[in-house]
Amino acid sequence: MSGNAAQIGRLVCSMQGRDSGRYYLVVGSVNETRVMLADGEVRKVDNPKIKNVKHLKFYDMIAGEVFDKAINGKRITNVDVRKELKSLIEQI
Amino acid sequence: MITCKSERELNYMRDAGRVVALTHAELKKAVKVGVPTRELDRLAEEFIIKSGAKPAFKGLYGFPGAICASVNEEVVHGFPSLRKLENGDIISIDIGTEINGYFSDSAVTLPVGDVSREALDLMKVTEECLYKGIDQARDGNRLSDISNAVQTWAEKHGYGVVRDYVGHGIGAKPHEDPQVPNFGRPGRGPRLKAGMTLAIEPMINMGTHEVKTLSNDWTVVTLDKRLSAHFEHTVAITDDEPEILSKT
Repeated sequence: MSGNAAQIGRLVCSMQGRDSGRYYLVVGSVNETRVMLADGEVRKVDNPKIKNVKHLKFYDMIAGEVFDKAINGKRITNVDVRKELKSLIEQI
Repeated sequence: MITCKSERELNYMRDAGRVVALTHAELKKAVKVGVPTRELDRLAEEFIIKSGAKPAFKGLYGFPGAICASVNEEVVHGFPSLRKLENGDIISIDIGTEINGYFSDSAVTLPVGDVSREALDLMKVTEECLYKGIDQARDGNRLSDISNAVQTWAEKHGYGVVRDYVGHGIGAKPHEDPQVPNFGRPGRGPRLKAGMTLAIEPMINMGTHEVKTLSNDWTVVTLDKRLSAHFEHTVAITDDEPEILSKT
């Protein structure tokens, strides 16, 4: 049975709400429909934004270092998020 | 956290995997025009229990069946129901079992009666995607080497790779870390190590990769209503060749 893909490190863009048009990385999930998002600036890793997946555009890009750290139980830093977010946005 | 399994744990997973494979073989004989998918579910549950295992999906997160039965444009998580299989349908059957607290998980897509050449090609390429992915499940490789192998082969044939649902780690729980996407650039993510166990499962669409979830909050269908196929194996990373645990 396949797992839901709120992949940690995946690039998303908010499509609804006051932050519409803002890019984030997925840094965790609350449940099947709500994910935790950070950009390392306005939304820090320790205070992530929580949004419904229906209100996000998911890009086919994953921040490798953030994903790697999360899976291996290491702490994701805001510097990691900022650096990888910048690099992924440049590739869109 | 990705866990590496001991030989004892792998043996339990092999046992669970053998039951999954035998159940698939039983259902393959039963898939015929006119058979309701609920009947396949009943047969599977009966066979799994008779084999000394537990149906892992029954009640998992509230899922109602022992198997996922996804027909035609249904990608994954189809409910077994009174819907009768029709000539030309394709059906993806996903089965999970548990023995001694360890899990195995595997899916196949089967033709019902006479199916179109298009559908046969989709099924063939999806199964090839699975084996391309498995071939990358080697000690020292990176996780996304699996993802990239699947995506490259599927897109080479003009198919859409589902992004919103992914493979996963498996072992003492049916879903463990890491998530195993079927897309992405190679050389990313955690390094694979002997003892890791992954459920690799390409979900490949004939058209767009986009999907939506039906109002039952479970069944995922293609956005363009075109066919989708799904193949899956539970695989152990070893010091040598990858080992498929969900086989006889």
